[in-house]
Amino acid sequence: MTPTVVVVDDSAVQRRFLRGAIEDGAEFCVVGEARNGREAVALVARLRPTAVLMDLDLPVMSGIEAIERIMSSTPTPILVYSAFVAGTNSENALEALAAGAVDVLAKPGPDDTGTLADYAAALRGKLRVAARIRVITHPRGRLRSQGMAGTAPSLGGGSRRPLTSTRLGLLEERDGPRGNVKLVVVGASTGGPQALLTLLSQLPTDLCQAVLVVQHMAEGFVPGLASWLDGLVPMPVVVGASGRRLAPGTVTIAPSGGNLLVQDERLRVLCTPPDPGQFHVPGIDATFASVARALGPDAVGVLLTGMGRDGAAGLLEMRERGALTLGQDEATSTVYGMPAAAFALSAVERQLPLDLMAPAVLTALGRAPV
Amino acid sequence: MPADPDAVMRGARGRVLPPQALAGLREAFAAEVADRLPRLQAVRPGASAEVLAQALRDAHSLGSSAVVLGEPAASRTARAVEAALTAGDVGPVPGQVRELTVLLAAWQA
Repeated sequence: MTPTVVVVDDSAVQRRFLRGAIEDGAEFCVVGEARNGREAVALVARLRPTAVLMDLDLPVMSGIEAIERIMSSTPTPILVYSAFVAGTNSENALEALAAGAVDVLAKPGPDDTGTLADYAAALRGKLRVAARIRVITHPRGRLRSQGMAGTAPSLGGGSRRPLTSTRLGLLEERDGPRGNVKLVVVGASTGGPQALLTLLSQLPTDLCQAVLVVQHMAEGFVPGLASWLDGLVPMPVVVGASGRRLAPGTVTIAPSGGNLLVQDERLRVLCTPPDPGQFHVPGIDATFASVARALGPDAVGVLLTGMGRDGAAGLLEMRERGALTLGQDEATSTVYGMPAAAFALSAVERQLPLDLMAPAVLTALGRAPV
Repeated sequence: MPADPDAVMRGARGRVLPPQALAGLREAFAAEVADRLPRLQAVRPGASAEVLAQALRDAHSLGSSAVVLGEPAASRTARAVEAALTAGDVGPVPGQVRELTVLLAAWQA
């Protein structure tokens, strides 16, 4: 069956262009168009498309709110298409991803060098990936609809309802303190920004360990991710740079454009070019493998939601060298791809729902869950 | 209108749509210009927040649409209007909108 798409944009020009670009080649069929967020929510509920292409700057109801509502009521892969996600506006992209969108694409600008044909091909490529994603009900919109979430900055805490002792009881005795852990390294891809927000929100400012995050992300978006997380989580969040050391109590995000490798137990890092043919940049496997070699058992590896299998082999190497390895479970993953691949390789020592990931990390570090 | 109906797209941005779709795009853009440009032309220092918010949306949409129609100069000018409005600096907007009007009139000629 031909995958179906709903297009959401208040500009008739954009809707017409997008319809033509999407339907070129008959790979997709545009079944509906909405001019604002409210229309989008209703149309998606009625038509149940395979995917949604959504602008963010919409009248009546904003794109972000529409994403939240769709993801809480009719979970559907949403690809954001907006001029408000490029360059200095990349925090909007992160906000959209946190609301439940699976990917973002900047609208073509007047100084772009590519042709519209190139752009249309890229758009269809992104839709092809989005259409394969099996999305889950998004907690942020659900909590908002229940009156449990407030303004945007606090929404990161949407998943921060106090954990009950019953939930914490799911952590087992083997999840107890582990040796001399120096580093917690986290890999994530599709659905990662929201998952990272949930995980990092539960890690305290006085953590004695460094935290390193590798999030698959297009060139130019990592500073926005760092800035966005820095405003929402307790620990400071910075972008990593070659030659520096990872600092305890600080979250370092791997920069885009290459791989970030941990060189030694003093946590000095080195940025290297991606391997020839490497699909995901920055690569999680490369970072995990470097951590395995540099720290052995003195690290915790966490593999979160994401499409593909990057991170699985690296996590296995970490586990083989004695590190605690955690994988996000299927029920709470936006895309159960990378964690599933790691689980299949026996790289995951403990598979956990997202809300138990931080408690498991803290328990391994000898800290009480926040 | 150019003699070759595909010239705009092929020349400036590369063609992506069949000729009938391009014709539809041009119609849609002409309608968008007719709808949004007069509101931008009416913006003056001291305009209400509501008027400025709508103007911001109008400039934003015209800027994005002009790219699709292969009019980067009009797009840049619309983006300059958007940037001025975003910064709360309405002073240069009337002049920028006059330039945008000329560029769009040339496109429609």
